[in-house]
Amino acid sequence: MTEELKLFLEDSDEQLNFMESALINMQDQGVNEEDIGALFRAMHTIKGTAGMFSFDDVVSFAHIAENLLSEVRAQKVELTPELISLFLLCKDHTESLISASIDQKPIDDEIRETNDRLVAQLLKFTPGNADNGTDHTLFAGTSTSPQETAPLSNEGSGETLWHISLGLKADFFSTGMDVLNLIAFLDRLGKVTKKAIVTDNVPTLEHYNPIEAYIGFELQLSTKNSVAEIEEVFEFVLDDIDLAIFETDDQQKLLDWIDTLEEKQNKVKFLISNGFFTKANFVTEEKAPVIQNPLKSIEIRDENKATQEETKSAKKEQHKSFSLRVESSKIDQLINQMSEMVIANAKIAQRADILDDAELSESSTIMSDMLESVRSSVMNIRMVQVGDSFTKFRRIVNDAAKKLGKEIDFIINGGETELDKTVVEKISDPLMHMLRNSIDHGIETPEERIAAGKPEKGTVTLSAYPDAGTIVIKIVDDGKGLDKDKILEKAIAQGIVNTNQTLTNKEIFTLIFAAGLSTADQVSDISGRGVGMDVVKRNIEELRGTVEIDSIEGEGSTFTIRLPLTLAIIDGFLVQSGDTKYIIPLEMIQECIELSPAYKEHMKGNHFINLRDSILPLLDIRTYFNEGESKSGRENVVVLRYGEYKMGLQVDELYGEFQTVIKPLGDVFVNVAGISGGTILGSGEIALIFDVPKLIERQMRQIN
Amino acid sequence: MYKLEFEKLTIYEVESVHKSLLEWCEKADKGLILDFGNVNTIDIAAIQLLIAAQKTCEKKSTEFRLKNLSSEVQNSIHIAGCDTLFKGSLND
Repeated sequence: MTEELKLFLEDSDEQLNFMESALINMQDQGVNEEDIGALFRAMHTIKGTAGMFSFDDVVSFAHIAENLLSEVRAQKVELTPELISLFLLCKDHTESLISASIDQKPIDDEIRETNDRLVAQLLKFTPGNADNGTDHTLFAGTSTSPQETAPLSNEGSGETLWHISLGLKADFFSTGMDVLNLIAFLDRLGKVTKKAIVTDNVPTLEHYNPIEAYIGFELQLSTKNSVAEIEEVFEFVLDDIDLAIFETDDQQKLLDWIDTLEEKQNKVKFLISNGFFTKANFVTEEKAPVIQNPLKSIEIRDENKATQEETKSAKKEQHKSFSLRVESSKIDQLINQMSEMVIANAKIAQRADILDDAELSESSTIMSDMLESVRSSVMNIRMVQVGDSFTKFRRIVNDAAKKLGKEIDFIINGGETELDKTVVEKISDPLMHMLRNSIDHGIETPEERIAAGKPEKGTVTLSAYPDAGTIVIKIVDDGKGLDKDKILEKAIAQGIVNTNQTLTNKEIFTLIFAAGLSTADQVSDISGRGVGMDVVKRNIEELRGTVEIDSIEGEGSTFTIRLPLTLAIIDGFLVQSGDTKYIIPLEMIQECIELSPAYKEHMKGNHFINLRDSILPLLDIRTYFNEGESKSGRENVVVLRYGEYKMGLQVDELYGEFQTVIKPLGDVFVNVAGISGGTILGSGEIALIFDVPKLIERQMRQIN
Repeated sequence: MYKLEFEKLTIYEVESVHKSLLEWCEKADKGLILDFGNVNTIDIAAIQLLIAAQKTCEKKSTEFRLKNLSSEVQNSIHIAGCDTLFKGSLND
């Protein structure tokens, strides 16, 4: 796929998403002008960009949909729920048309059928469609030539006459775009009233390089569209052309533009002889005709040129500031390089310490601060709001609820919470699966709900919020809850647990993540096949996250997913136990206390201490990992918090904060419970990073 | 007369057509008449090549003509704004 096609695909995906969220929004909250506008613009943009690639099937369909949308926007047609559903179908269909066009697959019967059906429905709603003269026959074999299609803008006043100068840069052909399509497309924006090809630079065949572009175009376009909209036509090739657009009667702009050119006189002659402008257009106010004195003053010219270019690039910048698409591997590389710098700096800090060099030590501290701020900026690039991916769930919830005959209010909270882009992408499928499960198994049918004394409409809430260095995503439903006995019964029947095992409620709920366990008596096509929940858990664990279930029978269930904020560098806290150094993620640490003899006395050989009147379970790292004797005189406890759990880690030495670059430990260590990775210290030593959730989970199991 | 064997005359074909045209111009002193009978699609890269060929013939003061243009090819030439440029060369 060419770079342009990729851009097109990304762009149309974005537009389709806009479309969908606008429609869903209006379905939930009623029709509003803003969403109608967004819907119209999205369809319009898709039509426009598809036109540039000559995806005629997409253009023809989008055109018909856009016609109806423009009537809706003009409030001539009311946007009924029925119409919203129709536009949702149109969105899906546009998507399949686009993918068929990109794959250059012929349109199959199914798509054709959908197309005909949707077009017929759209036309039914469009007033006066019989006589609007546009071509509705699709896939007729020959593509509709742009000249035959009626221009989009209506006749009448308000049209401006623009001059467009378009010079192809030498490597234009490498863009893979045919400039003919772009020019043809201008004809759809309005009317191209004058057109001339500039051939001055075309050499004879002896000196001709077939892959180099030599030509340019001068065009005059009459349209209602703005300069930005005209520029949009050339969006994909802006870097490979010299483009100037200005109103034909804006003399100043014309002169400014001429001034930037190298062959002024030739251009002026060309423009006059082709009837774009008259001699009078090139006469300045001081009556000094430019044509006779093209090189007014080198300095002025250069200055003008510079400012012109500045404004031009500023304009481009503005145009692109909306979003900058960067290959994610480039950011990964940057993070890797950052990591190496952090390690190198740790080495410098240590050296400064050994040499007792205050100045070096200070420099290293400054460096460390700067590295930290660069780090957070780089990490920030990867952060995206979860809301965008959440809104697409609305559609899924809607569709699933409709299919099952259930009524559901879907509420999204904390959409502005930011999370690493990779994490957002990877969490999307598990979330979708869990939502479907909640709707299918959790929420009851309206009849059942009324019988149980609940409101007819069920509620599913999806929320996200940051908590102690993690991001929490919760799915809460007010359905019938999980049936403990049934789960246990099934699990025993399938040999997942033994009959004589006693399990806590949470442990029973966690069983639904075991492979092959489904409590649904009826397997629906939405869920209940028992594959999935185990995949969900695995996906979440791959992201170093955890998932937990709470449920009260008859009242509903809560799924809590906890994900780490970042994946590469964390703020850590360096401790030592025996001969080994360990890192604890700083955000999970609540406090550090000394394990004084007074505490020890109270413990009486148990692994609990009384911390300000609450019981804190302790885990002695030295015994847990079979470490050697302590070399320090005092014993310390690091108090950790993860979710609602607290635990103390008994360690020997506390060193303090350390910027930790997470390095994988290799396959051999994958199953070491409680260690999630390693890092390299300034001295070259290796420190192990604690997997706090796992440690806590283990400790809790032991206590229970 | 030089007959173009391609159905499509685009950036992918211009290199080989350019070669053939160069050879043609070198050995033949007469004009260049291009038969478009087979061609149903051309793009801007091909049009640019035609312009170069026309220039070459003008320089040598020999004839340059395009023959048997399909309506699609004519349409492309029209979109490129080359109607006037090739007016003298069109032969219907």
